Amino acid sequence: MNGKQYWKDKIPLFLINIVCMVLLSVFLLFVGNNADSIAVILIIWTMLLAGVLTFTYHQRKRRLNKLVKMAEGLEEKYLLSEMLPEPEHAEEQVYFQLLKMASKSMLEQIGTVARERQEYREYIEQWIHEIKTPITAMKLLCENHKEPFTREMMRELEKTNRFTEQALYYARSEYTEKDYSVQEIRLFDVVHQAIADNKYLLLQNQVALETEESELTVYSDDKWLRFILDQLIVNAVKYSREHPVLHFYTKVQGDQIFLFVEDHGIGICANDLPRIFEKGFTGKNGRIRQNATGIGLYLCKRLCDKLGIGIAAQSGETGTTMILSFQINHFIHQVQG
Amino acid sequence: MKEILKLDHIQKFYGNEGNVTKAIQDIDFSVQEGEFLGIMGASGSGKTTMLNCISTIDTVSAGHIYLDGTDVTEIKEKAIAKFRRENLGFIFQDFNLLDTLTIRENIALALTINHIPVGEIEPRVEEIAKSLNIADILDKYPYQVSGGQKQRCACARAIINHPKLILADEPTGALDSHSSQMLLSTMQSMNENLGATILMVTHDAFSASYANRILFLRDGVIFTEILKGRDTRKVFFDKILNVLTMMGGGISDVL
Amino acid sequence: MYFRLAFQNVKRSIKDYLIYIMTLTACISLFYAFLSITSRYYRPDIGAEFNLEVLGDGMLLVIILITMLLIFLVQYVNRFMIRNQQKEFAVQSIMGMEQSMIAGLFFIETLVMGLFSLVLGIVLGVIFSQFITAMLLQVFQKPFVFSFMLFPDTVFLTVFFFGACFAVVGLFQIHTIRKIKIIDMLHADRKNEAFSTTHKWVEKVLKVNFILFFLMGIYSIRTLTYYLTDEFQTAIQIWVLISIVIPFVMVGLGIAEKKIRKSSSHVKYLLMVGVVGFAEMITVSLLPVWKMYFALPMDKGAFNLYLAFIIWCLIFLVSVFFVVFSDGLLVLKNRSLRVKYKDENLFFFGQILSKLGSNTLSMTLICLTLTLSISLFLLTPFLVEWAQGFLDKRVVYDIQIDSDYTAAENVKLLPETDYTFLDSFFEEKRITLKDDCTFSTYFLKASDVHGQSAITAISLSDYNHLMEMFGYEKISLAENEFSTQWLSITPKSTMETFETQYDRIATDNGELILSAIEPKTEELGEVIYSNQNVVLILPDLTCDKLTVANSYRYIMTESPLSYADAEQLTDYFHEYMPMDGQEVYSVTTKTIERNDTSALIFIVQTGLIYSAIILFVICFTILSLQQLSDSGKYRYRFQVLRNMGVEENHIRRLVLKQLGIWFGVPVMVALLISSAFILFLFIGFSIQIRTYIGAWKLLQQVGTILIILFALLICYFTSTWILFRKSISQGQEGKCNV
Repeated sequence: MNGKQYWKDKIPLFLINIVCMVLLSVFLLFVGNNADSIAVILIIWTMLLAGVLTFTYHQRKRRLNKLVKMAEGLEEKYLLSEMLPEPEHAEEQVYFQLLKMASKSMLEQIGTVARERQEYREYIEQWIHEIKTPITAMKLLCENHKEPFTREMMRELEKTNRFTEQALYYARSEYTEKDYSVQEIRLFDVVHQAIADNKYLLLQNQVALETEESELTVYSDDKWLRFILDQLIVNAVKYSREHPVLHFYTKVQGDQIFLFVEDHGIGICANDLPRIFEKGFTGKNGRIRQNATGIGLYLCKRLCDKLGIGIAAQSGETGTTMILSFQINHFIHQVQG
Repeated sequence: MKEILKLDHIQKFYGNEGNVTKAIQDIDFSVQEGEFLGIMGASGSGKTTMLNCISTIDTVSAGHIYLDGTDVTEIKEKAIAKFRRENLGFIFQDFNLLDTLTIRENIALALTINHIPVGEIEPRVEEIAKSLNIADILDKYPYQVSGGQKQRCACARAIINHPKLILADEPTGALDSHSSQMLLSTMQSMNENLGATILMVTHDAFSASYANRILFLRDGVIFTEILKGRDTRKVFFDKILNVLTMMGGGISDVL
Repeated sequence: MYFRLAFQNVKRSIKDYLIYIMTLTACISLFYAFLSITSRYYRPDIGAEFNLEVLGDGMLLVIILITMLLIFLVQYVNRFMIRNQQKEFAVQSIMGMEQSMIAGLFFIETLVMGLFSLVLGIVLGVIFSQFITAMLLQVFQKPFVFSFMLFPDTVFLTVFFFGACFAVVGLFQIHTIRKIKIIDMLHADRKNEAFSTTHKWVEKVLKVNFILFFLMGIYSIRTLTYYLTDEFQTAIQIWVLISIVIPFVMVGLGIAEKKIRKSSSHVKYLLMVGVVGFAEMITVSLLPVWKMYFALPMDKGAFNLYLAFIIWCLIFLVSVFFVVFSDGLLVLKNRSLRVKYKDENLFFFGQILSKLGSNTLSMTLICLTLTLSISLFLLTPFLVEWAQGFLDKRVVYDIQIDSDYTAAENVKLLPETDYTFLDSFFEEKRITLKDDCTFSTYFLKASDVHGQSAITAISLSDYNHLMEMFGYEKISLAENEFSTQWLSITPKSTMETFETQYDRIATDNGELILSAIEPKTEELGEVIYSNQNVVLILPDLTCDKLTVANSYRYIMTESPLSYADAEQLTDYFHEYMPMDGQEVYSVTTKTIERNDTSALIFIVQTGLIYSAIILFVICFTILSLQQLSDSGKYRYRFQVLRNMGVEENHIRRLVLKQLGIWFGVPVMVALLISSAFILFLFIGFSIQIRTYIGAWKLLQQVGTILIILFALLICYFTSTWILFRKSISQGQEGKCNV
C-alpha cells in the first residue's frame, strides 16, 4: 500500500481535527479555564489520534502487503479471488465481491471454451481412429494384388496414412505427457524404423540411403522420435534434386549426441532458414514445390521441445542437414556402468 | 417429472497463503423430483464441498446451481438464509441439535423460524414425530436420547417444512450399525411415502445401497453413475462394491 | 521452546481475555493515579496554608486496602482460565509434560498478561493522574495546574503491589493445577450442563431466613409492645401490630413449605415468600420515618438492629428474585404458546434459561455487589458536599477561640478570660488582624449553671459586632426586648413552638418580651449556642448584671494563616491555657480545619469512588467473561441456526437480546434498589441537604454519577457484544474441505 497516498487521504481528517482543537481551546479559554488544563486536553487528544492512526496504518499496510505477496506467489493468478481472505472493511468487501463476480464469469468462460475444445479434439481423435480402418483395408487390398497400379496406390496410401498420423500427433501434441514412454533406445533402430515406414516413397524416388551405423543409445520416446524422423525424411525427399541422397550419421560432442539427417536437395535459402520452424511457413521452397502445409517442421519442433531434443537446420546450395541433439545423462550412464 | 436440482459445470477452488487446490474440477448432473440420490467418493474427492455449495453454505468458483429453477449462485447474500430455510432441509453427521431445547422444541424451531402460525405447530410436530417413530421422546433433551433417535429427530426437523430437497452429509457416520439401518430405512420411507427428494453424501457403500441412483466422484469429477432400477438392495450393493474396486480404492472405500 | 509455547498461549489468551486485561489495566492506572498524589515528589501549588501529609498517608492506606478487592477478580479469572484450558492441559500431560511444568507454563502466561497490563496501566495512570490532580486542586479550591506525574516511588509501589498480587494468585493456581487428574480434565467439556432447577443454595438461604425472621418476631414482640399504649398515635399502633404479625407469617410459610410446594408450583412458593419479605422490608423501613417526623423515641441499639434487618431482607429478596426470574421465565415459556413459538424465541429461551439456571448464585452476588457499588457511588456527592458545606458553615472565622462550661468536670463557674495573651503571639508572627471580637455569653439565671444545658444569651452590641464582621444587617432592640439567633438547620416548627412558649422570659436582671423581629438564622458559627440550638439576644444593660457562661474571641485575619503558624498558635494556646484534662478551652483555626477536613473529604471521596469503580468493574468483567467463555458452545449453536436458514440480522438481534438480559437485569435491579436507598436518604436528611448542599447541586452531582455509570456499562456491554459477535462468526470461515 502506498504510504504517501494513505496519509494524503487523511489530510481532511487532520484539518478538521486541528480546526476543532483550536476552536475548543479558544472556547475553553473564554469560558475561564486556564492554559494548563487546555494543554492537557490537547496533548491527550493528539496522542490518542496519532496512536490510533499510526496503528491502523501499520496494520493495514502489513495486511495488504501480505495479500500482494500472496498474489505474486500464486501461479494461476486468475484464481486469486478464491485465495484471498474475506475482508472486514466495508469498501474492501465491495471490491472483493466485484473481484469474485469477475473471476467467476471468467472461469465459466474458460470452462466452456475448454470443454468445446475437448469435444472437438475427441472428435478428431475418434475420426482419425475410424479412418485408419479403411486405410489399412486399402493397404491390404493393394498388397494382395501386387501390380504397378497398386504400388502407386500404396504410395498414396502411405501419404494418406502420414497425414492422418500428423493430424493425430498434432491433436495429441498438447498432451504429450499423457503418452510418454521414455526408455533407452538405439538411435539407429529408430532410424531404420522410420526408413521402413517410408519404404515406398523412397523406392519410388530412387533415394540412395547412406547410414553410418553406431551403437549409440539415447533416452527418449521411440514412437515420437520415429514420427519426427518420418517428417524429416519426407521433407528431404520432397525438396530433392535428381539422384537424391539421404545420409544418416551421428557425432558425440561434449555431453550431447548429434544425429545428422543430410540430403543433397535444393536447400533452403538463407533468409528462409531462420523461419522454417514457424507454424504455417512455407517459404520460397513451398512455392516451388507445392503441397506444403507448413505444419511439418513446426510440429517437429514442438515435439522436440517437449521431448527435450534439440533441433536445428543447416542449409546451402548443395542441400540441407537437419541436426537432432540428445543430452547424454551421465548420471544414469554411470550408474548403469 | 420435475427437475429439482441441476448442477451446471461447477468448479470450486480453495486457497490460502499461496497455494490453491482444485476441490471440484467440473461437475454436471441433475436430480429429478422424488429421487434418492447418493454421492460416493473417497475423502478429498469433493463430495462434501459439493454439498456445501448446493446448500448455499459455500459458494462455487464457476458454474451455476439451479434449485427448482432458481439459480442459487445468483441469490444475494441477504436472501440466502430465507431461501435456505424455505427450500432445503439438512441432516448432518453430528446431528446439529440444540442442546438447550427438547426434541419437540428442536423440531418446532424449524417451523417457527418460517413464521408458521402458532396453532399449526404442535399438531405438525406430533404428526411428523409419529411417522418417524420418535413420538415417545419428544419431551426429552438431546443428551438423554441415543444417537439414532437424535438423527431421526434431525430428519424430522429437516422434513417438517416440506423442503424441495433434503441434503444429508454422512448421516450414519456417528451411528452404530443397528441405528444406521433404522435411520436408512426411515430415510427410504421418507423418500417413498412422503415423496421427499434426498441427496445423500456418503463414503459407506451400505448406506449408499439404500439410494436409487449413485454418482461416484473422484478427483473433483464424476467418475461414473449407476442406477438401482429394479435391482434388490443386495444386488445394488454388490454393483456399488464393483465400481469402488474398479475405481482403485482400497478397503477403506468399501467400508 | 517452552517460552515460545508460553508466549503463543499469551497471544491467544490476550484475544480471549481482552476485557479482563482492559479492566486490569484500568484498575492499575487508577491505582497509580490515586497513589501518585501521595508521592513525596508531588508538590502541587496549593498554597502554604495546606499541608498534604495527612492526605498522603490516609490515601495510601485507603487505596491499598480497596485494591485488595482486585485480588478476588484476578483469582476468579485465573480459575476461569484454568477451567477453559483443561482440555489443553490434559493433552500436554498425556504427551508427557510434567504437571508442574504445565502449571509453570500457565503461571508464566498469566504473569506475562499481568505485566503487560501493568506497564500499560502505569502509562495510562500518568495520564489519568491529571484528572486526580484536578480533583485535588478543586477540593482545595485552587485552579488547575499541569504537573508531570511519573514518580519513581509510586511506580515502585504499583509494580511491587500488583506483582505480589499476581505472584501470589499464580502460585495458588499452580498448586491447584498440579492437583487435577488428567481424566477429569479430558472429560471437562463433556459434562452436560444439567439444568438444575433445585438451586441448593437457595434452600440454605431460605433456612437462614426463616430462623432470622423467627428471631425478629420474638424481638419485635419484646420491644414494640411498649408502643401499644395510647401515648402514641394510632398509626404507630397499627404499624406495631403489623410488624409483629409479618415475621410470624414468614415463619408459618417456612413450616408449611413442603405442603405448599406439593400443591402449587415451586415458583409460586418462592413468590409468596418474596412478597412477605418485601412487605416486612417496607414495614421496617417506616421506622426511621416515625423517628424523624413523629419523634418516636427508640433505643439506638434497637434502631440499628432494625436497619440491619432491612439489609438482610434486601439480600434475601435479591436472591429470591433471581431464582424466581429464571424459573418464572420457564413457566412463561411453557404457558404462552404465542410467545414461545414466535420466530427464534425458542432458541432465545433455551439460551437464557440454561445460562441463568446454572448461574443464579453468581448473578445474585453480582447484583448485590452492583447495588453496593452504585449506592457508594451515589453516596459520594452527598457526603462530600455535605462535609464541604458543613465545613463552610462551621468554620466561619479565621481564628475561633471558645470555652465550653458543660465540658468542665465540676460544673462550676469558669473564670472570665479575655485571651489577650495571644496578642504577643500575633505580633511576633506579624499576623495582622482585620477584625477582632472578644465577647461572652450569659446565663439567664445564675441557677442555670447547674442544669445540663440551658439557653444562653449574648449582648446586643456583641451580636451586632459579629453581624458586622460578615456584612449582615445590625438589629436594634428596645430596653426590655429580646430576640433570638438560631442554628441554621433548626426546623421552622421548633422555632414557632419556641415563640409561642417563650414570648416573655425572666432573667436575673428583669423580665423581657420577645421582640417583633424575625428570628435570625445567619451563619455565626456553631458554637455560640452552648449546645442548644438558640441563643438569645439581650440588650447590653441587661447583660451587665448576668453571670457569664462562656467566653469567646473570634478573629478574622487580613491574610489566611499559614499552616505552620496555625499549628504553632494551637500549641502556644494549649501551653498557656490549662486543661484540667478536658477540652474546656479550644482554639480552632480555619487553616487547620480547612486542611484537615478537606483532606478527609478528599480521602473519603476518592475512597468511595475508587471502591465503587473497582466493585463495578469487577462485576462487569465477571458478567462479560461468563458470556464470552462459552463461545465454543455458542459458536456451534449459532452455526446450527445459520444452517437452518436464520438471517444474519436475526442472529444479531438474538445476541443483543441475550446480552441485554444478562447485563440488564442485574443492573436494573441494582439501580432500583440503590435509587430507593438514595431516595430514602434524600427524604431522611432533607433538612441537612437544604442547608449544607442545596438540592439542585446534589441532583447535578447524582446526574453526573449516573452518566459515568452508564458510560462504563455501555463500554463493557459494547465490547462484550463485539467480541461475542466476532467469536460466533468465526465458525463461518472454517468450512470443511472434503
